Amino acid sequence: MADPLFAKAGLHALNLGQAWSAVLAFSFQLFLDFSAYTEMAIGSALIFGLILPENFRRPYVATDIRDFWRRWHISLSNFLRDYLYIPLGGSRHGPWCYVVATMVTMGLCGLWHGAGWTYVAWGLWHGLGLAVCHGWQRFGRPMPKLAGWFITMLFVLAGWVIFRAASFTVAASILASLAGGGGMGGALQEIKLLIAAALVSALIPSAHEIINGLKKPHPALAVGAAALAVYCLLEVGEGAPVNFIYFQF
Amino acid sequence: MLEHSAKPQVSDTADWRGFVALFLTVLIGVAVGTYLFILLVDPYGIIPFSLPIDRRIVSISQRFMYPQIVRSKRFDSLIIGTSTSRLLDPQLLDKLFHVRIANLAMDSAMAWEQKTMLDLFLRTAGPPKLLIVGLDMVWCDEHADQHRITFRGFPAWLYDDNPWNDYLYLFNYGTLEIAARLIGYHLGLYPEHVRYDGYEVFVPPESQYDPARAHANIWRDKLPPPTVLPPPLTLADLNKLEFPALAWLDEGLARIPSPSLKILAFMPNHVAAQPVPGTHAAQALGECKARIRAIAQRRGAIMIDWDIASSLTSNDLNYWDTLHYRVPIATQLAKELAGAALSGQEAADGTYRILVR
Repeated sequence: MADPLFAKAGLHALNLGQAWSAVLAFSFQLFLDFSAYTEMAIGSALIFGLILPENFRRPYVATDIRDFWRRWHISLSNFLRDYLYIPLGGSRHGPWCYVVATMVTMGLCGLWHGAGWTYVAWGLWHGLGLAVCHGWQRFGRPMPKLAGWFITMLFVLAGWVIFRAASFTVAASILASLAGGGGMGGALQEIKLLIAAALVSALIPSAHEIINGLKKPHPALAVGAAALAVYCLLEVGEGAPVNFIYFQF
Repeated sequence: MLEHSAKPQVSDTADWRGFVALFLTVLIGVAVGTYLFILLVDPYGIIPFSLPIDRRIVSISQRFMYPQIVRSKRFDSLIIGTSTSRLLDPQLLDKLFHVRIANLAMDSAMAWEQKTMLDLFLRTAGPPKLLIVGLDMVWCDEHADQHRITFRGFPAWLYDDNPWNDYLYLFNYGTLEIAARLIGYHLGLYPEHVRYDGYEVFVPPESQYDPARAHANIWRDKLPPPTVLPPPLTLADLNKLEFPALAWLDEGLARIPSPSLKILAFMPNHVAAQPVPGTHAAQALGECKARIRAIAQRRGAIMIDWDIASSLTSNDLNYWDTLHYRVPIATQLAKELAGAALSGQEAADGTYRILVR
């Protein structure tokens, strides 16, 4: 759903339904694709008694943008924090140093994802978000959780538009369409699929959350896991693999 | 970045051993049970020790379901083609040609897929009494040797003579679902999806025909004709064109001895889907038809062409969309096919041309 709609956006403006369908579909596609891949690596390592670091912890339930980056691609976030942000001064030398360190770190984070200005812009967009969020939190006036989540998700979705669009022109067109600039018509496509993806993204814990919460092995869990494994084997048997998209970043 | 896990306590170890044992028991038990269920039900009709049940076509996955129709040896004749041939009713053709024919045309079938179906029929059931090849643009694709299958995939293992490789491809969700449907059919819970001779009315019922919607479907993607035609292709240009699928057609027809009736029929695409006369596409199609005509003459086949501008292909009311005509038209085509092939009957209204007889 995401790929044809983003391609269509390069030809003409999407209507409201198409634009939201495209952005939501891509947001879930990107997260589920990358998260599932790393959870498989973590699970495979666990079979051999190795604990790999956590990489995703339900990022789409984050209630602020700093929370989002503590949940999204955690290994990269930690690397950038330890080897770029902190050496650049971090938050130890006043607010301006914090802003510069954050913007440089996130700009390079964007560049890490691809050699294109849209990626850099996406990184800077998140750098700006982190700086504003940091400033707001220093005021000590906490935002209601639901409002925080809503604003954070709007911010993240807008970022994914910049990240996924083939050019700034297409990104601007989709962002305008999200606000109804391409017409108020259309409806969300594949709504059941989007709801399923949202539920999976919000409710299924990461492997680390599962093993940390697992105090004692329970027979029901063994039976459930075995049934799930059989289902996975049957899916693998279909022999029609879907492309893993995050390899390109 | 790696850490070793903490050393477990002895009681934990016993608990986890039990957990792993239960997990493996359930995993192996359910997986083996599922596989045995698939093998015994055998929805594709390929396992020698499967249950002796009546296997109906309970899935629209024609590429998976049709090989068993061929292997059943209930039919002495066949139709290959795309969805433009699927509405030709075998029961009507049986009466007209005095054969037992299966319609093995498949949605969007590439030429290579059709040729593979014919190969399977020839190897399994021998030369057919009647072969109808419903011709489409796929046979005139200049890259047919590269465009061998569609995005649907093609189970080549179902079409080979090796019974042992089939077991590798049966443990999957799709096969399990079809096996469950077959059991559902025998329990009266699920209908037969496609008649066992391959016939299925895949277009909506006639009662739902909407002329305005059909008109919109037909003309929606039609580009305006070019205002200036390009210089025509020269004879040298036309001679350079390659249609790789025609070698497969030639080879397939060569394997069918002369007592058999072989019919090559260009099916009636709506004029909106036909190339604009004078364009390179129209010239290339004309060249392809000329080469098929030569093959038909060489191999003793009859060739009929409905794919022309005519009162049939110009009338929107005959179609659901540019490729799919209505069921009464299919009946008319079957009768015209028999008349043209058996008695050389020409079209009174110019809706088809007999190019080789």
